[in-house]
Amino acid sequence: MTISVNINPNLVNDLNALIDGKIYRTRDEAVEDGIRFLIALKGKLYTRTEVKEVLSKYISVSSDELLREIKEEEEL
Amino acid sequence: MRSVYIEASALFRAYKEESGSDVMDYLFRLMESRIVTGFASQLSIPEILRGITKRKNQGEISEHEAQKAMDSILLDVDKRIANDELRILPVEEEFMPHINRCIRHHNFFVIDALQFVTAYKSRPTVFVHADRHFSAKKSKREDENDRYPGKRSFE
Repeated sequence: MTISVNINPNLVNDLNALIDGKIYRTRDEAVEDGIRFLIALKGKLYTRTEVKEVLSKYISVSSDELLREIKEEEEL
Repeated sequence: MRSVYIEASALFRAYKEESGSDVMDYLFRLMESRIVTGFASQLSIPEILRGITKRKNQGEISEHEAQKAMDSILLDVDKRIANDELRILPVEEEFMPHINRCIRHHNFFVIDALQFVTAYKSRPTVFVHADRHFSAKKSKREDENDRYPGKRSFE
């Protein structure tokens, strides 16, 4: 699938190459991904290493404990 | 190609630095090199998003940082799916009897049962998790199976 937006053609090519292998059921889903890709291509999102730094900085509890809390919360 | 089923508690460690993150970094490198294919349940990403959102609700992380981190995780996952490094597995109708059995006889949380059965059905080379709950679960039936090793508790 392709998405047309008014930006640098090189960015559009990169975007289409990235989402080419994914099947979308709705237009909204594709647009949401497209916007996310565009933001990332302009350097506004975190890399995986940066995500780890941010989440570790702010969230002290371990992942399994965090997921456990959610499971138990949904049992209440 | 070898496949690794990555349960949510392990997948979370790829995006949060803690014990086991080094293993996830290594596994992601293997996926990027096409040495292994990663499998994950379609529910794993929502679980991670819910975990971050809960901490945002509790004021530990700001709205802006939480949303940006979640967008970044979704993008990273999308890229890996597009590169065929990671496959997201749906919960199939045929899984339901097994899921119900896990809940009834083994006291699984719903989400744990969904994860466990999805992993079982995908027949991965390795099942990676960081949830002590999976290894800690033991019912009377499993105790019986331990005494009679020829029987399997999950069929």
